[in-house]
Amino acid sequence: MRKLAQFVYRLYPPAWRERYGAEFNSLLDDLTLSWRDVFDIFMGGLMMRITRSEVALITVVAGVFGAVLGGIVAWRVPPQFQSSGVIHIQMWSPSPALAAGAVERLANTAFSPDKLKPLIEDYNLYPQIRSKRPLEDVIQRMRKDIHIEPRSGTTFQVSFAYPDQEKAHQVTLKLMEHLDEANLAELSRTDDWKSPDAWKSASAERVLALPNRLESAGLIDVRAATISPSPAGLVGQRLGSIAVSRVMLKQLIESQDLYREDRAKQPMDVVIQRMRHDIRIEPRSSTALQVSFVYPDRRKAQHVMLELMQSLMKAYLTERPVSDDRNAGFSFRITPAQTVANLTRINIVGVGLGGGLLLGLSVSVLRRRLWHASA
Amino acid sequence: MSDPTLLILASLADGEKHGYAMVKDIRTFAGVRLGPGTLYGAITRLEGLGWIRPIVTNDRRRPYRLTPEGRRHLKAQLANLHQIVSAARRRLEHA
Repeated sequence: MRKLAQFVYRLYPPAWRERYGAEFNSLLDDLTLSWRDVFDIFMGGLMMRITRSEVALITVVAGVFGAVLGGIVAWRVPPQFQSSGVIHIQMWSPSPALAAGAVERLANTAFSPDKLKPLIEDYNLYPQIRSKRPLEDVIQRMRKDIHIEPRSGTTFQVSFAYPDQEKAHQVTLKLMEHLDEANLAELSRTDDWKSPDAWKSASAERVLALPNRLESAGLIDVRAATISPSPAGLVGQRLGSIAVSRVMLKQLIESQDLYREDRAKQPMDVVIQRMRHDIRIEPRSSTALQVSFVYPDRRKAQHVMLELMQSLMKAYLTERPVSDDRNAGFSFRITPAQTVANLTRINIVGVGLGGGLLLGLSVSVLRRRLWHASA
Repeated sequence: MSDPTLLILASLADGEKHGYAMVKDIRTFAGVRLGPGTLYGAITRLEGLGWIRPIVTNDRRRPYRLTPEGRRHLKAQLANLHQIVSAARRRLEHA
């Protein structure tokens, strides 16, 4: 016991041992030492270290101690790898051919007999023809007077030719309104994030064409639709639930032999739920979606993440409408598996280091108070 | 009463003593056995406060004695304790 006490005595700071060492050892020689005394010497040495050391030294020692402790804990914790990829959702301007197709499609709706008939009646168009021929023929005639022609790239001119200048202008304005309504109706039928086309109509302008026939025209631009809210957020929200299906996760768990220990103890549904917690699909920006998966095995983490991204793409392709040209304004660019990091262990060591430094600093600041309080 | 600093001051009140003598004395009058770490922790603090002073000697057992300031502090502490003890006793008698 005497030797053990002598060993523990080394915990005292050298300066203290220099001053009190001889008399302290003399006391140890005189006493019949017990385990309680050895512990008492240990605690005395520890307190002496704390109360007599400098702030920086205590802080650093406590920080290193915390980091070492965190390292030991981290070593016992299974490693965790996070594999992440980013899907960039891009939009481009529609091609002239695509824009022409979109304009023609909308014109069929906007200039249908149901839409033109009220115009003919309200503005009293073609009175002479109407008196002799059925309304269907008048409508056909009016459609011949409506022209949609490309002006440049994705800009189109909508014009209506009629002998009365004022009526030509008023009807052109109405035709433009009908196109706007058809466009809005189409956008409301489909989801915003899937519809790249939107009309931007310019005000109608009067153009003198022939001596006895006046033509009024308006311009429209076909542009990518304004997306609100962000496409990434919507894709993540809508496709996430479809892409990360129970069936898909079950297949991944079985094919990649994931969560082996959990599967041995718990039903598959619980394991699937656990996997959902390890999957994150979240917007990185208005047009970027990050997909990540956390798992103890680096290779499996990366493989599952890539599978998830592919599943998201498949979900998108399945979900979009049949007519491709509506969706041609979107494209996906994938940045796969850029980050594969061992998160958990680093975090634990970091917490240990931070906690140790904080504790050390607190003790250093309070040590004078401790010293006087105990006197 | 087991405050090591007060016990050491009380032990040195009747004259100088070294560490082992203090341990024996305190055990006798207070029934408390101070461990070596506790004893020298308290001695270090009391010397730092200037309430006790070591006596120069060639012996490994270095004796200590109270300083005037330490004596004043001990008296103040005992007066305070006496007040507490008296008050508690009165209350017990009237309870």
